Amino acid sequence: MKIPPYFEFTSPPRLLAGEGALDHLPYELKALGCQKPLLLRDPGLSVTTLPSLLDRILEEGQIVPAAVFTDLPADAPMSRVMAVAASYRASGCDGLVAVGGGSVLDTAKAAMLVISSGATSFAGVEGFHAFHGAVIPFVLIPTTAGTGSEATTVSVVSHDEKNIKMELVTPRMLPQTAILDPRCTVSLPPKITAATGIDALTHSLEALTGKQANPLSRVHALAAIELVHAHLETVLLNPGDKAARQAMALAAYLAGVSFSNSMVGAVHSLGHGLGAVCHLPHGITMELLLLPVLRHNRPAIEADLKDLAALWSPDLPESERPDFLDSLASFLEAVRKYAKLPATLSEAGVTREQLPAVVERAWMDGSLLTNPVELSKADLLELLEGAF
Amino acid sequence: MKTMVAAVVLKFLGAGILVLQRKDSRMQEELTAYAPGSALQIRAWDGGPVLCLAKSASGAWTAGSLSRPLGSEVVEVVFKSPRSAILALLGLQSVSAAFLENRVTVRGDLMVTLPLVRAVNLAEAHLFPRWWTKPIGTLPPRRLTLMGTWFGALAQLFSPQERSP
Repeated sequence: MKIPPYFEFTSPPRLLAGEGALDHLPYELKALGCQKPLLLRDPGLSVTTLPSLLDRILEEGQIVPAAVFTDLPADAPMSRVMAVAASYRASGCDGLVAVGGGSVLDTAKAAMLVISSGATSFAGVEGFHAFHGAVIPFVLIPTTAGTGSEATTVSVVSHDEKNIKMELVTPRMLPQTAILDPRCTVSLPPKITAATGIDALTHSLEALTGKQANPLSRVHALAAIELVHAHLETVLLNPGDKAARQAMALAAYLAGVSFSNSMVGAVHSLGHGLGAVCHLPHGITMELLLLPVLRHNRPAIEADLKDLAALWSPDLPESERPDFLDSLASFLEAVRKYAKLPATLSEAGVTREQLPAVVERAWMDGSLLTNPVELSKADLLELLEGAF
Repeated sequence: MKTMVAAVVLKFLGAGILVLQRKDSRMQEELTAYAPGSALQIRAWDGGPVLCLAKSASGAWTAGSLSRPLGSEVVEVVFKSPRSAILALLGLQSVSAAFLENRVTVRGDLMVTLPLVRAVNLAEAHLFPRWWTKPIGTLPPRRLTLMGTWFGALAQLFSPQERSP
């Protein structure tokens, strides 16, 4: 195993995992010194039983949220982040709890930084490893199994006027506690289950093969890849399988720890570009680009591909193991079939005329720096054409 | 001593970037990512010497050693320690590698940081001999010779245009 001459690794937060983990939320909040949290809740949860479950658990634990905030659009803009911070201050809260998908958790992380720093504008917290100081009690509860936001040092929010996404990166953004309870993900529809699952797989594959990989990020990535391979098809075929749901939530968490400590690569650069220009859901962009980019990267990642082939076919002797990229192609094909996901960019509604603009966006994306193979703008366009 | 070395190297780096901005289309392309009024600051360490590259309203670039206050138009890269700064600024470790290894912090819009990294990488490829530098990837090919870039940078340093923004 190659050990980089220097690397940094931020340990993941305290994790409560398993059915019933959510019931320990009041205990965790009290342990953190929080009695009056601001509860940030994904508006999409209103059609599920999760809000009433959460209310019951908090009531039993004698925790009364000082405020509940649900006005959270997908990819919330900075103004929403500032509104969350204002609500926190106005209600005299002493901690922040967020329950929702990756977008809601990212909003919560950005708001936590604004609140903790006392910043009055977003400019005060923007940047990479730029935040210093103590943070407020902070708990994250994901309701999807993909972004792993509860375990990452990254938050993505959008700019109100410029229609671009902005990244904040700091290890101080991690929650003190993350809670993975299968009751939070069991009602996810197949398309979102598949797309977020592929997102987790992409995080771990890019973290494993990227230039910034280190022995610790590698261990987490391999564990995530194994779990996705073993459980994603199961949850698509049997959405009520709580054990498989929990395994996928754990995979997303592990993938989050991994990529948060070694970055992602060109799949994400292009995916961010497609999201910005064509407004495709992030997981769908990952599903469409993962294989073409890994094939392009192949000359630089042969050793990793051998390890991955062994991971996915542990019972076969080395000489009989299928090539990992072939196995991945079959796996993605099966997931597409179960969840009815598009197989090409054109099927997803992207037009050829949009591709140059996607390349320009991708060219500005920091993930390009960590891709195992250096890519030119022509390479990026070729990859998009290949997925078209 | 470290402060003096960092200050001199930053000054020279700024001059090299301005030379390439005039002569190399790749540098021009990277720097077009920034709007007039932008400032890109490379600080050796917290409180250490700084290089401030500023784009005027007319689009002209200047390099100076006085920093601007942080704001929406300013991106500042700061090395976490003098050791990391010296390694990167002397070309013993590329700036891209410093980014990859989290040896720097960035204050400001991360979405416009990559062109700055590529610009510094390009300048380093022109300012240091190949045998000296230890890049994490391949260095971009030179379009100006090492000597040509050095003479250009020296001329830039002593030209009346070289001033603090």
